[in-house]
Amino acid sequence: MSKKQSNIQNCIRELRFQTHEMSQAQLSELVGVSRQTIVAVEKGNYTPSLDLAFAICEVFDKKIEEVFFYQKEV
Amino acid sequence: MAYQVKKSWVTIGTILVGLMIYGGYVLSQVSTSFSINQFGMYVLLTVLALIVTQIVGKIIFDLFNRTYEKKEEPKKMDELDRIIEYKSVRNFSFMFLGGFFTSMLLMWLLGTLFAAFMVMFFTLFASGIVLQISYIVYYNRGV
Repeated sequence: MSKKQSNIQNCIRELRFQTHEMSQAQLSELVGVSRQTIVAVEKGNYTPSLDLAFAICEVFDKKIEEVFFYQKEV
Repeated sequence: MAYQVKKSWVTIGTILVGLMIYGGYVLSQVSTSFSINQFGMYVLLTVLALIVTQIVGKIIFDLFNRTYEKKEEPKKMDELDRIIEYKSVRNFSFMFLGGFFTSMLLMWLLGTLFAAFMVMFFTLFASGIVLQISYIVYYNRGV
């Protein structure tokens, strides 16, 4: 089953490790979604809503463009 | 494997078992010449059978999940769950609409209730399976 890749990519995984090796479960609790959703966002299988994207950025204390970036599929 | 994916697999299993048991019963009861009243009665009974299979599936899954996996059902749906539910219900509706119109077309073309009933009967079960397969695909592939 081919995965659906979004054009919006992110560096949440790297940021989690830089933030005291935060787990996906911890991040999901902080932003109020399930771990499954964080997994999907990290893998690029799901583009989060602006609400969720800003909540994630707030956790890492970063601007949105530092966490999410547009990468056109070739 | 995600909670929802496991739940969908169990539900597909119970729908298939329900289809075999209830389908066998219906096929033994109906003949090619049955009335409009029987048509209505069996379609309603099929909906009831589907609801029962879903409930049985949920009970079996909850028992299994709590006993072996020691996990509880997620308390709330987040945005991903909601989008997946919308898309899955959309697929379910398309399948059901397709079956319904095929059934009506057959009734119009052939003039018999039996063919229309059989299409309607299998459409109801197939829609349930499409719903669960949609959940599995969207949770695994992403939306």
